[in-house]
Amino acid sequence: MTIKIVELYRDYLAVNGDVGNVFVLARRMRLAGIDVEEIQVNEGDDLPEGADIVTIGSGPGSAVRAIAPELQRHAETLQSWAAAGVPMIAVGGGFHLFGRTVSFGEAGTVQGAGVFPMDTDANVARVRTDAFAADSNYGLLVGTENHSSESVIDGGTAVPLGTVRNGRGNRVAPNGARHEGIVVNEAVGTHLGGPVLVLNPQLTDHIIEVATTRRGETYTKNAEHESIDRVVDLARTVLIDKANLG
Amino acid sequence: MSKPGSLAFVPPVVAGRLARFATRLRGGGSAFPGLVAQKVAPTFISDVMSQLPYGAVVVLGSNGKSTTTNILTAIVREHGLKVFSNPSGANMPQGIASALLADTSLTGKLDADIAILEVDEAYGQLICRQVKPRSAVILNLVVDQIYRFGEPDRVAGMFRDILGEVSDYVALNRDDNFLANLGTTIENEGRLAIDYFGVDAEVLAAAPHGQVSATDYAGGKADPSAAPRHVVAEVVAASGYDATISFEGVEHAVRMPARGLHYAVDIAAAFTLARKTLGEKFDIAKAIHAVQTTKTVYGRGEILTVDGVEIEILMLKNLASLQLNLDSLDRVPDSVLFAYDDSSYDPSWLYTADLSKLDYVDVISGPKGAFIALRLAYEGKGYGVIESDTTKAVQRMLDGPKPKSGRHTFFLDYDQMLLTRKYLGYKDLEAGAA
Repeated sequence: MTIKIVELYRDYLAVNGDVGNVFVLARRMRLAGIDVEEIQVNEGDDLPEGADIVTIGSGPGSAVRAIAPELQRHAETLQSWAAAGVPMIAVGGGFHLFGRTVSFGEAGTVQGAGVFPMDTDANVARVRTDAFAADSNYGLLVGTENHSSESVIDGGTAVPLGTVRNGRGNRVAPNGARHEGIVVNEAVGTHLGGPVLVLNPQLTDHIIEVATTRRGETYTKNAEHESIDRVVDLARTVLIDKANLG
Repeated sequence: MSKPGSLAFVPPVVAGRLARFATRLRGGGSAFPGLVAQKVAPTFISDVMSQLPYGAVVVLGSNGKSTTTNILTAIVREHGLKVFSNPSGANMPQGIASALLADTSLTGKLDADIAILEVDEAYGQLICRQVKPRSAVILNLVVDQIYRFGEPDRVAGMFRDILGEVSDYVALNRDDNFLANLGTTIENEGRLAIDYFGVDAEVLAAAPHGQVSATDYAGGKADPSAAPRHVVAEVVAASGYDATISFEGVEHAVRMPARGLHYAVDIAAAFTLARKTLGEKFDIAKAIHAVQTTKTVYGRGEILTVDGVEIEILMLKNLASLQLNLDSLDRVPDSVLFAYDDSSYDPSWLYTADLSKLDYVDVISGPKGAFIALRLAYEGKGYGVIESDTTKAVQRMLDGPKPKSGRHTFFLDYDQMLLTRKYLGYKDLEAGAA
């Protein structure tokens, strides 16, 4: 059994290390003895017949606008995969593009894939958080935040990925609540960089477990995972200390 | 505006000198005196620059500014001109004003024929409004300091704005995605004369990661049916320390002070701008001699010798600088220190780097050293220890076994490069960014 990771538009949406998310998904599965196929879908390509995990990364506004019409071709398929429970990880610009609309002020508004019931204003002052942190069902998520956007979740079964402990995240709610990201079934969207799946193995392992379970596979970690995760803790500690969350 | 030699120069120069004296007593940074001089006379920089017979030229780009400024200065000096240049790293307004103070007489006379300045992209327009440069060279636009700049498109906008303050000429990297498109814009405007430098297509294709230039999504790709752009200087071979540069159609062998395709491109850029600046005076033989006898800029491929063991310092400012430095290594380094500074807020880019040139890292350092360790752990590569204190980490390397190759390789961020040089007894430090 081979687990297929489908990575969307690396040429456009991997401006700052988002390939790291694909890399650690594949690495952790291979260390557990699971066969992995990494499929890159680029401009002009069709989607494969099916996917076990879908990833899309971040990019500058110019890249998001340039690739949006291309992504439209796959919107229905991606929506149906998400509805069927395929795990997805969408980061930064790709996270916004998985919503309904992304507006760039004078540069116009583009339609997203509609996987997430969410609209984004990508024309606000930039927010940078060195040690971005949010509580979630996958423990304390940490990473960096660097975007000039406000996303608003509206409707369906969507819930935020987490509650912000340090940083901003999505548009701050009228009551002052700060939420970060979105979850629809097993599709996750977030602003977390670092990359997110590198610094948050609990989330990474959850994605892998969902993907393998759907295919009747078992994901069993071993000493090599433990050895890596000890170093993950060192890196997480740097950020947790910085955000004074220790 | 004050005329050269006018008494109007006395107050800013005196005020600045006093501030410099005070700062030196305190043992502090070098940007403060310039700040004082500018407060007293806001036109201080432009007044001094306007006296120069060859005017000012500025060096811009994500990577290689210090190296190119250094090479260009050496070439112009080789032709007998007196050059004022800002110490590498002092590329913001106060730093430039401070450097000017040191070389300016009380009556505001700068003893130089030309100013060659490296300029930070974010401060470039502000600086160039005062410097009023005749010419500029832009080396490259790579994904750089994404945490500071947001996205590469913004940096392209900064370069466009800076060129608005340049009066005569610009030299651009033909093979850089953003700069090629910027060239089209400048050509269409027709205000500035323009030349290109570049890398032979086959050489570029053979380089493991090309020039790692950022993608211009809005500007699009160059029209393949368009006539190829003429280049003044083109890198037609680059291997280790040896490059061949075709200058005005004639190939010349150049032994470079540091390794790598990126270094050869910086030399081609310097040749192109020097040719324009010096006009008929320009002599390629003198230019090559200048390149071959110049020292590297601190920490950019610089080799220090400590107790008979060499230490090569390579900068890791961003993905492009790390990758091009890795690509330039002729073998797997056998004794490695890798430091990661806290100023590089978002370490994600480490995952875009191809680390196949590294086997093992002996000592990892810097406040965010754990992120380097994690990158290596995920790659299945080993490391010795994490020592977050940079000087202690350097000492560990020195205390360790002598490398078989006779050389330690240090990958350092800017601040750690300064710390390391100082610790090793190299006191001739950079002025430091303001």
